[in-house]
Amino acid sequence: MSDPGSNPAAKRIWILLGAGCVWIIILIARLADLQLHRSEEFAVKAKRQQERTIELPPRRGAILDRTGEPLAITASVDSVFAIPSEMDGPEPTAKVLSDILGVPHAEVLRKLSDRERDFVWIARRVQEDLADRVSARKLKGVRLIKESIRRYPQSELASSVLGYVGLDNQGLSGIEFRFDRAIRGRPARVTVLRDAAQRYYAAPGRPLRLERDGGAVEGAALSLTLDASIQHIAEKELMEAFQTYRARAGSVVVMDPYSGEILALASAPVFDPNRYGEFDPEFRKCRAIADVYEPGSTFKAFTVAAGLETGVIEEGDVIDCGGGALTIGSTTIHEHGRSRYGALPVGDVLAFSSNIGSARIGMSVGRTGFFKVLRNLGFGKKTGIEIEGETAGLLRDVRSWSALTLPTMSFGQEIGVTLLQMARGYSAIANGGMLVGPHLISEVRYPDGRVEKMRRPAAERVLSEKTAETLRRLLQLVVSKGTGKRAAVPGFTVAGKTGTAQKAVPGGGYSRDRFVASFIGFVPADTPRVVIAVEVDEPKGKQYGGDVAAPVFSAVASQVMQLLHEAPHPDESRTTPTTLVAELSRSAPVLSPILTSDLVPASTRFRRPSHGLSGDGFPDLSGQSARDATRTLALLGVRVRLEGSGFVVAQEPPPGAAIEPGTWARLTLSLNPPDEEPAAPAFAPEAQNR
Amino acid sequence: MSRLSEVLPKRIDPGFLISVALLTAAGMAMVYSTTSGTPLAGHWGKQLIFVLSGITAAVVLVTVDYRLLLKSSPAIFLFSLLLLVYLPVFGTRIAGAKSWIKLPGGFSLQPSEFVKISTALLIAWILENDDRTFLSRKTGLLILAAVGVPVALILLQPDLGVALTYVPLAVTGLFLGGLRLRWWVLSAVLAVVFVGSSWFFLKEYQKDRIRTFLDPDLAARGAGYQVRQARIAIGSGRIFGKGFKKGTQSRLGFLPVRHTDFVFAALAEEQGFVGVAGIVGLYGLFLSRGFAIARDARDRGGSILVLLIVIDIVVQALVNIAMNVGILPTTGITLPFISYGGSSMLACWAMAGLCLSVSYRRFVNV
Repeated sequence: MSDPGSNPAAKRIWILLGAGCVWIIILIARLADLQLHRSEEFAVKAKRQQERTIELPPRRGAILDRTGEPLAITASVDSVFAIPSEMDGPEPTAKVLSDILGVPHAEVLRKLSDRERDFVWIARRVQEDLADRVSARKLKGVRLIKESIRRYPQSELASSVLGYVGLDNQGLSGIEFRFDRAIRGRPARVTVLRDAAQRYYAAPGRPLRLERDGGAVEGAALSLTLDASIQHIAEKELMEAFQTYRARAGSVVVMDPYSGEILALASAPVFDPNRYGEFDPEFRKCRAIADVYEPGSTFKAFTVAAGLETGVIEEGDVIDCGGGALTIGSTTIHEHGRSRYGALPVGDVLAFSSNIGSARIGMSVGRTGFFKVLRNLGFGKKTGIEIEGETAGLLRDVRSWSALTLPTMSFGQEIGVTLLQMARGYSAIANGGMLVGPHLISEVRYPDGRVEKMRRPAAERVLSEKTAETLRRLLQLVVSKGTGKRAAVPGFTVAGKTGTAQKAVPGGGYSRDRFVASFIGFVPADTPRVVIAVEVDEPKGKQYGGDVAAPVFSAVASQVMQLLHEAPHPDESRTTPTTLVAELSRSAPVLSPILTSDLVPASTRFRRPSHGLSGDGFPDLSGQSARDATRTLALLGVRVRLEGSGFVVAQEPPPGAAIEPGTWARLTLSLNPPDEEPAAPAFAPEAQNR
Repeated sequence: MSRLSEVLPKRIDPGFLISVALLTAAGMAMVYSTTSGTPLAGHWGKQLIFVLSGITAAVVLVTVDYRLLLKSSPAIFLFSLLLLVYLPVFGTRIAGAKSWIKLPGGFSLQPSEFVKISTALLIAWILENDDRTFLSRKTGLLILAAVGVPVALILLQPDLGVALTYVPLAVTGLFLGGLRLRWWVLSAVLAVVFVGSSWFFLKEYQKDRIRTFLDPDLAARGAGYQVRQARIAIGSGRIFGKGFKKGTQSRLGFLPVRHTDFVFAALAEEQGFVGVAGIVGLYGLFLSRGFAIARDARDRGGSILVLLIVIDIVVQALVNIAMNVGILPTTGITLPFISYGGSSMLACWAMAGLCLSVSYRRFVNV
């Protein structure tokens, strides 16, 4: 049998062996083709399906107020996605998901029915409890993934300043937009392994931990000059007026006249940036910088400033107010309310807001001189504040002025300004003549520890010390005896000016029933701490700045002064400075302190959350409002479940318990706080602003 | 026995044994590599138990005179058929087929793998009794019956993959017995007609397999998925492979049934062209040493038994590899000695034991 040729059976064996060899050669050739010749092609295919370069979004930097209180933070939330190819049947899963998440059943079913897909979003950024419920169901082919979301723990507070962030972590307005590059951070691009079930791995068998394997650079944190407490006061008082007078809009600026720091920048109506999509774009505007209006009488302070600065008038001068009418060409200018003044001292031109007196002063100054002073005071130019959407206002060039421009501009018509520009102009009066750059950002804190102090715009002298000092004195008359009495703040001297501007009607002329009511001033009058500008657009019922805006000023100013620990001056509690007492007693009743229920001590009005408690464990939150407690815990990185509403009466974990990242706290709330505090929440919940 | 231990290495074909041992070792390594760190991690230990049982079975079969087995092959065959008859009635349905008998301890047996042995024994016995140059009609029909009956029973389960592994037994038996050329031509014609017409009887998933075999990119996610992923695994392994336990295609779950039917692709990914060429080479060595054993066998029955077994195993291996590399449509056929699976491993080692028994008794004066 050993000789292949001699025996048919042996021959057959050789045939079989030969066939086997041919087959083996074919296989080897095929393997060589796949693994040697075409290996590159398959390596690329393998890589393409196994590796994913994923972009890990960085954590967006926080925005803090001047005390470190968070105004915007980044939180992690769950998003739900499905892998239809892993599912047995989409129908029951779709039902469960639709029930829990509230997404229409048909939509979920349509997404799940595409069995070829291996990734489909069901719901992005869902609420914690809903995510927990989805996860508890352990649905086949349904998974959760952590995504970051921008949270504004104080809801509407400063929303028009902060702006908001879109789904793709991009700042869309306000500071979020302007400083997007700094606070957004840098995403990391990581190549990770992906398995057939769409799970990601750092290496085979080692699940991916984004925190560890990521390396995204966190965004910088911004510290604002805003003070959340002052901002809150400003918003609350503005909102009250806004609602009382069913106004179209309104804004309040609170600024430090020396540094130009903006302490509060409030707009009405407001929006909640956590739910920005639900609000009309009109609600998202930062009105103090975006809305241009004709300032009206508040502008007269600058007319007098121009007169004093150019030397055409002096403090003691008496201005001829023409008996209530001033005719220029074919137009006659009247006082508002058809008052008639013969001659008024300069101070009374302001105090009683004489249009004709102002026009006369302006005309004495002359076009060029007036224009120069206004230009120096920053009108017609952007202030450079760090929010998107600032407008320059309108200060036309002298060459295009008509004969009426100078006199009417002297009492605030034919010029477009923003409230912020006005606040800055009054700051120059308050601080002794320096034009400061209003700004909102104090420093940028980078995640590497670097702190970049924002360069303050250099202040420029625009008025002499003497002019400013004189105006500070004259503007007190407005409050002490003139149109702005309701701006008075018990215990403090107030200087300021009312404004009641008829709104210009498109096509020319002025409306008879639509006004902008405003009050701009500072307190204390002789050593100003803050400039406060209030503007209410189209109030209904009342329209005078002295009725609508001055009380807002007063309310804001009194609370701010308490917050700033300014001691009320006993001598000033009822009167204005002594130099003016004689005149005051002659021309106006003694100002009686306006003590409203609002004017309770600041300490009970506004409970500031304690900071930096992480070393001491959980703070004792009892008695705090839900809002304060939530804010305190947010600062500590603790997530909160609230039960009930009102004040904290019980907390879990107890005070002093260790805080670990991602800890949950449960707060039990009650409308009747355990201590003697009144039942109404001291710090108004959002509902009040709605 | 002391005498046995002295003569054993000289009498047993070392090349044959080495090829089987190395293939088994490679299989163990691959089962470990593809399942460790996965829910299947325990499979490695079970595979070790299968291998040890297989070796035990082989040792027992070496010590038993295969001529005794040949002589009693009709009885063995009939008894083993009983198991196949038992299955459709009492068998446990796993993955849609009643192919398994449950054993205590979480193990289960697939009788169809063992019936292959008794069928080989029966065919060898039939041909030993008919050593004419050309096959008689009666012998030919007997051979067809010996294969046809178990195949029919297996198709009832149904398990097309295992049934196909019986085909080489029939073809080899008929070929060695001396079936005339005209019959081969006729069979070939019939086969073409059958395959052509069978398209209409195939189940949809089977048609899909053939369609996607012809064009794997047709449905990258559907039925063509396995073929396509196997090719990517093999191709991306390149010359030297990605390394032990570093096959990303298999470890990331892209490669389906990577420890059984597609273990070859997993091996190709991790060990590269060099590794799989070695494996193919080992089957070549197994084939050639098997033929050497057959050539040197002391009688026609032993010779034919070895040829039947060796060809059956090698054909199964080469078909499985051909499926892996995408030149044959996929069906559930394991890679002998390498794929995870108790019955297959046990049967393969038992068959190897029979071959070694023939090798051991090649001298007349034992």
